[in-house]
Amino acid sequence: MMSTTIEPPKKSDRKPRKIGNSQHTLSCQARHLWDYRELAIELFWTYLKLRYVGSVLGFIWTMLNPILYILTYWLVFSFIIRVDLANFPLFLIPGFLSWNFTLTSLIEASESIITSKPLITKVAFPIEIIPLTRVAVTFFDFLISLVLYLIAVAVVLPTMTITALALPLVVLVQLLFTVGLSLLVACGSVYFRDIPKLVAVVGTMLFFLTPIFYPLSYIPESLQLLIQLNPMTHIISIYHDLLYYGVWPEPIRLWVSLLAASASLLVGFWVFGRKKHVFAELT
Amino acid sequence: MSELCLECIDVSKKFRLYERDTSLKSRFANSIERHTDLLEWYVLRDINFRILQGDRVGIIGRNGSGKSTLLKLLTGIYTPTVGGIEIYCKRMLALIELGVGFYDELTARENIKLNWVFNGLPKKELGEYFDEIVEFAGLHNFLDTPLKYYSTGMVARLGFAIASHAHPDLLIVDEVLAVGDAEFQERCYQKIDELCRQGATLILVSHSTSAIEQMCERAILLDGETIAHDGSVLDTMNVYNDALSKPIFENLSVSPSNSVG
Repeated sequence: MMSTTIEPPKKSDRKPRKIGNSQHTLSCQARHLWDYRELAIELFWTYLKLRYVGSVLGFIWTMLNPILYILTYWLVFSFIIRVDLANFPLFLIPGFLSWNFTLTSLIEASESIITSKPLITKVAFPIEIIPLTRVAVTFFDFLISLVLYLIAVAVVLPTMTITALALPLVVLVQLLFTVGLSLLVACGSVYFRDIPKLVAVVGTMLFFLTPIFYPLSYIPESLQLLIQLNPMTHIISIYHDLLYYGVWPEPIRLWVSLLAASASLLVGFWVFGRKKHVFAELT
Repeated sequence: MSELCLECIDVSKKFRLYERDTSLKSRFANSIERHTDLLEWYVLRDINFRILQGDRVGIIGRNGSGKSTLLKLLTGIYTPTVGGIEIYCKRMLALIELGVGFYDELTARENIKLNWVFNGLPKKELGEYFDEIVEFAGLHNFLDTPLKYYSTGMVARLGFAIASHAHPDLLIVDEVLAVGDAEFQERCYQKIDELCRQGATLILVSHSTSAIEQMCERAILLDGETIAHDGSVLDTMNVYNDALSKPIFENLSVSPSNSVG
């Protein structure tokens, strides 16, 4: 429109994309992630594919791992150290699958940033996508095993009650809780390389200290508070209530889980967003 | 065609020297000894320049002069310690290393798809350019072969083909083209030239002067943590060569040249 002089350069009407120190807000982070949603989806399928390339048993491996664990625990806690619960596997399996999802996610996420070093130092993209897709793949496995379990139970022992319908709610709460915590450990492992190992050890400890293969009521009064500090205690108790006892969970348990999930999610995204710009230098 | 494409405003980048003690134990030990004097130094200091839409700019400098750091700042992989970078162009593509983001176990077809979205490009556009990409890379017969059976050259060709066919309006190229053979390099430069003639902006980083002389009109010389010279390729090359021939490179005076039209 005006004469085309060379100087000064026209600033275009569009707002520029800024690279600087002031882009840590959660909304900024969310928008950036949304822009890259196609990458997240593509990476999710890639991870799924990559896990089974070259392995003959393929998908069966995903299921075999928890099945073998469950059989072992069943043997130990039903026949050796007798936990006095009718139909023990029905008590054990939902809690175990749920625990397995969170722990596997945390382990995968804690290693994800360090092992993706070539990507992070050479390509600009929202790094959250890496731990998030790892969690998504683990979640996918969890959903499949949960659905298979529900089908098996419905066919073999029709003990399921109407309370099972509330299952998606607790699954969602657990997912949010896991996502937040995963981002946190992924971020932390950039600074402290021993975090993946720490997660594995603490995970094994907490497996026994969380009411997974025994009910919450087995825990003596003196330890109750300690055990109930762990949000997974409440989440897994809800699974037990809905699927094993067939009762509605106490509202307080639901609120505690929801609170833990929101806190974990917010803190996870916030810390990751604050720290991710140095990952390319640190890894 | 004098729209602003990119502007660096007072950009400085400070790095810290991290020792190998990233385990909890040594951190703990260090915190007790109050061992906090981490070594810090500036790689780049007060970088100011503007690049207009359609410019072809070369960035030269010796090893360690901050070329790659500047590039990573422009692409957003690093964040400046001070200052900011404003990017006005719509589609910036960076070739920092060919073949990054490729997975060995995936086929070329799958890798093209994945790499496309890694560059932040909308997936629905890929259909349009897919055949062109395959043709440029010359990989018709190997589309469904896992990348692990590819030669380094084939991977490089594929990487370049994807980025160059995404119609970037700002192309940032690091010294990546050195992997291919002479014929491939020539084809790459032709392709870049073609993009530039269609209006794309080029930032080429190299310590080889010939590539910059061939491709660029303007060159920025990085030295002593900052811009030592910014001007036409010929001028900058003279300054660079003069400086290289001197026994001590630090003699080079830092000229305050940051207003370039």
